[in-house]
Amino acid sequence: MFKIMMIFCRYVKGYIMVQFTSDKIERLFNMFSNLNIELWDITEKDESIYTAKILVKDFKKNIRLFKKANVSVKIITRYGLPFLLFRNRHKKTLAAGMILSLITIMHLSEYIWTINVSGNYTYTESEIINVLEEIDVKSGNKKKNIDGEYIEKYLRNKYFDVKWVSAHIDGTVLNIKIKENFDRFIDNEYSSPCNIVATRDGIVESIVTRSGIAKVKAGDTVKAGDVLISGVVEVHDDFGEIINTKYLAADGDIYINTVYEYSDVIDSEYEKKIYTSEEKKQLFIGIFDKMYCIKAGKIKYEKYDIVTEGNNLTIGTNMELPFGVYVRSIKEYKTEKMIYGEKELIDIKNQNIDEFIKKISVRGIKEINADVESVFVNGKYITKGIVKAVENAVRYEIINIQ
Amino acid sequence: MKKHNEELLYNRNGKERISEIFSLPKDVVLAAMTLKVVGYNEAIIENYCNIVEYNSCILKIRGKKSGIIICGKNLTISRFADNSLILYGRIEQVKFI
Repeated sequence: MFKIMMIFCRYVKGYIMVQFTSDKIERLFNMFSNLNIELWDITEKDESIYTAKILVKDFKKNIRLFKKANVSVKIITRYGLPFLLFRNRHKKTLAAGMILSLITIMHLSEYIWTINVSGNYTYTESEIINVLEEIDVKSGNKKKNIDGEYIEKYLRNKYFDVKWVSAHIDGTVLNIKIKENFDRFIDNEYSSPCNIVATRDGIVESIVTRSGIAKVKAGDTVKAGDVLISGVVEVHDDFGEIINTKYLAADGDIYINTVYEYSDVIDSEYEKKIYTSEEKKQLFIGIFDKMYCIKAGKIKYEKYDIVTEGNNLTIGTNMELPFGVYVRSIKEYKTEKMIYGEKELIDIKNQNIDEFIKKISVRGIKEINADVESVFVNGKYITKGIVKAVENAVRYEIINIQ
Repeated sequence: MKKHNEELLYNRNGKERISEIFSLPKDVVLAAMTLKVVGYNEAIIENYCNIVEYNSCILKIRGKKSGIIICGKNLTISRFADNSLILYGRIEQVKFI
């Protein structure tokens, strides 16, 4: 590291390679050593001819020493920034362009240009970005106006089932990492008094109360909105009259037997895309959020797919700039009417049921069972039935204390 | 007299003993030259007084009380300043005078 710094300093100050011709070069070296003047890369080229490198300012200051030591000097090569600037002194526009681009990059690095969301499962990236726009956090904002702690608090309050949020800035990228709570119950973020209410109709499978008064027991039928565990605790005296009312945050584990209706229609006729070998490419430049076409061709195809590929320019790994080059590929296809076979229809039906079950199994489902029937009517494969689930279909409802 | 001089050569003097007792660096206390040879192609010499002779085959250096001769091929002084010197090249012989 020290050596690199030394090389850099020498380059910035400027140095020269000189040739000394003398029978007694040692006298010059000793003079330089006594005056603490640095020489490096000293080599003997021929008898009595030596080359060495010296800083320009040291050379200029001690020219008299060469005469004193009876040494003849010749400058062979010049290195360093001062000489580079002098050689390019007429290329003012080049220098101005370099300075301007440096200033532009430095200015642009003060803004956020990309928002990355990771760790999300239930909520899509675009949904979270739209939520951030509510608090004026979006691409193009200045970094100093972004408050990471406020973003974390806002997202945790907005989504109850997000148990951990991290918002930090790397270069020009705002990274949002979230962790959703799938383990058991949605943790109650509130310390304020609340009831636990049912979100779906069903029969209570099991109830374990940790805090509050249970209003239902296993086997009871409940409807969406019914209070299952109450956070209102009434204190009665010996005569049964209410002498005091306490409010607390209800807590407990409740599983409800619920039923979902399932219905799916699959058309046995479908259009299959067959891509031809015809393809056209268009070139775009992206500046901030807009795209400008550089090379466009006329599209003569009747049916086509568009695939856009490209990235914003990045310096390093985290400094994304709001400019990029994009290539749009336009691929022609023709459609052909096809009919699903019986096996294919069954596969698609099973896939759809699996996706439905996956969607409702996101959190807190203990058991799930699908009971469906399928019939083939008028070219359509109709599936109907019910999906039974034992789940913790509850939510927390704040108590309004008056 | 000759025997006394010979004894002096091999006996440590007062300064040496003080530097040993108090664990002081000898090159500072005794103003002695230090030579560090790395492999057969690098030598670092510090605390020398002046260069007596230099060419691509030989480097003679004199310190306060002693001298060093380094013989070899393609000897290049990589850096030289502030009473220290770095020598590169094929080192064949190192002599103390």
